[in-house]
Amino acid sequence: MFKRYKGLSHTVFFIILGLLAGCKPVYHLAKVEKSSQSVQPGAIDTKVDQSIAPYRNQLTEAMEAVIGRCTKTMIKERPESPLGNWFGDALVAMANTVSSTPVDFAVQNFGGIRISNLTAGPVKVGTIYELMPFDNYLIILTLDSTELIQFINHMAASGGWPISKGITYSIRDGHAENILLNGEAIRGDRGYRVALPDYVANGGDNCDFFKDNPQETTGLLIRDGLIQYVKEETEKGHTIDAVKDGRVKLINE
Amino acid sequence: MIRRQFLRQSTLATGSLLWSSSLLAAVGQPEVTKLTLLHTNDVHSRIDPFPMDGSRNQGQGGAARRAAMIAAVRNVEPNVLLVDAGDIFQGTPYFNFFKGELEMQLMSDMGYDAGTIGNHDFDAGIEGLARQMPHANFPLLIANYDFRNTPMEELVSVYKVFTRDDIRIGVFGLGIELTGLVPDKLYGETRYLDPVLEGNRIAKHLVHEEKCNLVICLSHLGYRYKENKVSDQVLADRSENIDIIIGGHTHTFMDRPETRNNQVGKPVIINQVGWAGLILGRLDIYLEKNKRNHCVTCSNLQVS
Repeated sequence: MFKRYKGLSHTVFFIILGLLAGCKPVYHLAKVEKSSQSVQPGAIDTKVDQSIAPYRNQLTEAMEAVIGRCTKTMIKERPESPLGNWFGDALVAMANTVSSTPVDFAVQNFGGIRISNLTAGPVKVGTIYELMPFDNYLIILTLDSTELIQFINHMAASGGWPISKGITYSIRDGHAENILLNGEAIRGDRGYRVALPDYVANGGDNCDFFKDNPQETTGLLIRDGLIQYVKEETEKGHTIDAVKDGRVKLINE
Repeated sequence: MIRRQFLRQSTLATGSLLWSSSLLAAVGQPEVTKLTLLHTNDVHSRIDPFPMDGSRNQGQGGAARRAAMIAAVRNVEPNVLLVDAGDIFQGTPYFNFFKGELEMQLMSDMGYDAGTIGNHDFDAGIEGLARQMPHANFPLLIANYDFRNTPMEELVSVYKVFTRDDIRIGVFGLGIELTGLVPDKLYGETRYLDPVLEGNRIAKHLVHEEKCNLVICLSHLGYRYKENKVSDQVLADRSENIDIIIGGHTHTFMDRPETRNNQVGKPVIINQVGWAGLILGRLDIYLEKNKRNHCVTCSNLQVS
């Protein structure tokens, strides 16, 4: 009797063990339904809006100031574009106001221009913030011919970056060819002064090849420089406009 | 087969003794729990809707509108989790003027449960990010940035476990390689660790040690690349124990979430909702409580 009871207790023990181990429920990921919604105009959360209000008021005042006029919408695209060309030329102008030695050309990384087009109409301080939200500083580097060619090839590999006028090249199969500065071939016996964002000079966008070059700092935020440049152009009676001029050509086989 | 027989014998032998709710669930209607996952990525300081300037996105987005939509979901759904996949900062003057303070404050107001760190969240430097953490009442989760000897060291977590109903949800974050993307001086001594290795390590820990029923990865790796580079797709394929990847970085507007098989053939769901807070991502996740090899309501996980 005792023996039988002991046997039964063993059985119960293993049954419970079995239930715990083998029958322990799990949560199956049974089904997933997507119902994302676009954030269209509609009812707003007033508490959140009230939190924003004081910040918004402070910004609006600063951002709404009109500093120039763009007569024809400028788009940003590769290998060159009106907006990219305008930006590149603006960098040269601002570098030459802060540096005693003129620069040979300027480069802006493609991804650093944060709007796809600058719409025709008034150019406000806020427009320039949209264009250049990053707190990037303008830097001047002196490159030797090897570094210069490497840099241009790096741009060519990704389809072309905004550059200033004066420098021209063609892209064939992701490689740069016929690189000219003011119509002259790149020479090995001189340095080339290039203005560019510190982001790139410090190795951003995989530009690690001149990271250790000595940098001439300007202390000028590119955004502030652009705002100043637009104001000065407006004072001169100029509009904010640029066109494609073939500084970067794409050669299709 | 042997196991099944054993189970049947067990059921008969124990009778009413073990007539528990879990056993009931196993034989009758299964218990299904619905979890509502709300998500954003790459909001990029888009506090206000896009300006009415004729551009494609005019009038869309905005934190106050998003907050109302989130509140509306919370009014209806009991089990909501709200997360963000990084690049909270940078993109409007709000960031340039106020350095991310308002972004963190608003996400706290909206009741975000967790976020991860994007490359642009370093734009005011690692000190700049650390300075805004007091404005965030939600954790930033990151498993593959080693922040030792940086101001962020004590301010982030690798993962957090949330409980909704009886479900334990493990959430962790993965960040993109910073070299070449963010200037060195902005991220300081932050060390980038292999996201696949760390992701698998943490996900395993969440399942086996933390007993999580669902594992969600907040990823700022990017959805996919032409070049050979770790992405959400690569992570999904090489993962084990990750159920859902909420992605960012590539600003991808996915028409529908992608389902891929992980290295042991289990489905992993990837979703990403573009950028700028233009879309409030929502996945309704149904979890069925049942025996390990038994699921009545399971679909093949092609997400509609």
